[in-house]
Amino acid sequence: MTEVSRLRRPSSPDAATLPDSDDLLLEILLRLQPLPSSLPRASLVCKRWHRLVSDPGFLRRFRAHHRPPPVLGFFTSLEGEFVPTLDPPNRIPAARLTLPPHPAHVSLFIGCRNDVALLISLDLKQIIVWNLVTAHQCGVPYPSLHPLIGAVVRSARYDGQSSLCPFKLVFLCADNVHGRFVRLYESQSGAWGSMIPTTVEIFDVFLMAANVLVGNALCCLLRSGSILKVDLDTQNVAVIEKPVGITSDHLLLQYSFQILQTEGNGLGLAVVSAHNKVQLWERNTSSDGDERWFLQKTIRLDTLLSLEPSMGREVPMIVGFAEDANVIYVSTYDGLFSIELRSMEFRKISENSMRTYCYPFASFVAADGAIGGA
Amino acid sequence: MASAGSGDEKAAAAAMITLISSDNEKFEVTEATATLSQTIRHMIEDGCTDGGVPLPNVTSKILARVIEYCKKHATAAAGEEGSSSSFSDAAFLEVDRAFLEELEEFDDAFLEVDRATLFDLILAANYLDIKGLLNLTCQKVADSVKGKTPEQIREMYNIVNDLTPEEEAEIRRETQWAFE
Repeated sequence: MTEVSRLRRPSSPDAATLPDSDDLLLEILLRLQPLPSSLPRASLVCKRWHRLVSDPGFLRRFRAHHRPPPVLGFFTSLEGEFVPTLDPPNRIPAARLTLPPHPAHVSLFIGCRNDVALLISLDLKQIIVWNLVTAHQCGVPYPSLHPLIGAVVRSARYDGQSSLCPFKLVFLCADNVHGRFVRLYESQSGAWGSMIPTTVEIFDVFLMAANVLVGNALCCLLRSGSILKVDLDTQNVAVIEKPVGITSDHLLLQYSFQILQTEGNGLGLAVVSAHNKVQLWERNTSSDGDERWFLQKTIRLDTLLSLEPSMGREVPMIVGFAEDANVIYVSTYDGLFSIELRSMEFRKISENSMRTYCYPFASFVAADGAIGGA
Repeated sequence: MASAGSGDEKAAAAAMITLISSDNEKFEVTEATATLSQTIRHMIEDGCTDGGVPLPNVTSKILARVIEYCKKHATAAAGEEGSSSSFSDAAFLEVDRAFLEELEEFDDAFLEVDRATLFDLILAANYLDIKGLLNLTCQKVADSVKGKTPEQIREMYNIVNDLTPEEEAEIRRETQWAFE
């Protein structure tokens, strides 16, 4: 742009001047789309906009106004490769969310929740908690010789200011002396809690198990289709059987079950059955007072996604679930789709099918005051 | 719609308030309509509405639009109160949903105005403290810059770019991906 046009007040036929009041401009800026490009673009309009959208108080309000944050992409299980799922200009480059390389470091990516990723470092024998927005990391010693599966949960609402907010870890472990047990870690006390025994068998545990926070209980899928439920308040550990009569008719069982959080904050389960169908179940109290599974809905994937008849081709797999967004990721022979379970709106994310579990990453990133180059 | 009609009848029986625009035009409205404005609600509570409420910051053209909005939404609020007692009644929920859809259509049509009018509505909603209207109008402006580049935003709203080339370069460097 030339110097003259930079300083000239540009005008279009319907151009009108925004209210002078900062308060009113803030009310408008607060309602910009919560997508990653919105605030950087607003920053580049003029000094006043730049000042307003950079203010920590504004960023706090922006996050509160738009909660839950949008899903920006996902990390692949174990390798932890970031795959952005939004189109430009909201496509966060993978390099922005890649762990700094560490030559002597073999780590497995095992989960992601509220801006925080969880990895197991096999050589350091540490659990690594990594804030993806601030890039701050911390290492926690193993809870036992063999941590099997685990999850990270925020203890308090993140204020977007501190480098790493208080968090809890939940791990299912095993050793020869104690058998199988669950242990919780609190970052504020910096210590692992006592061992809570469980009857879960080792062969029933997936390394890539998807866990979902339902209310204040962490629910992990087991190989049998049952669910290990750890109440973070009472520290009660229970195993919930899968719905009666449900069997998995293909070998990739871990991809045919997906734990869900239902609209009423209850426990849900999506089950892929034969012929491109997904059943949605909800755990509820029946009239006789017992907890039971109730079938809520059956989704016909071929109709919804306009799939060609499969003719013996691969069975669809559920490869991920975004907790707050209520979105499942379904890999079919026709590519990878996201489906919002309330509205049934879907999007094709990739022409290729996905053969590994994905951990969706939902974040305001640019509104966390820590945007920037890699 | 039936529920809208009965709402109006109910409102007609209620006390009336006179609002006076900056150009001295008088508007008779029900208390239910007027109290969507927190500013007017406080004036009524303080008993200072006798002889009309002067609104020196709002022209008759804008006030007429604001009243149109308040009338519609006051009816909606009355409908909500009425339905809460029979929440379990599926038929009632159906009516509720239809009414909400109608309200959404009303809001969409209401926002079909030029930008100058939209900004006047924002100023009036702010002055009269009408939360729903402020939200609606500010959201409309925010939506108008959806997917727009900084240059396009400046053009739309007559904004002069006073960032130095160095400041611009720094913002772009930090978030290059946002400008692709």
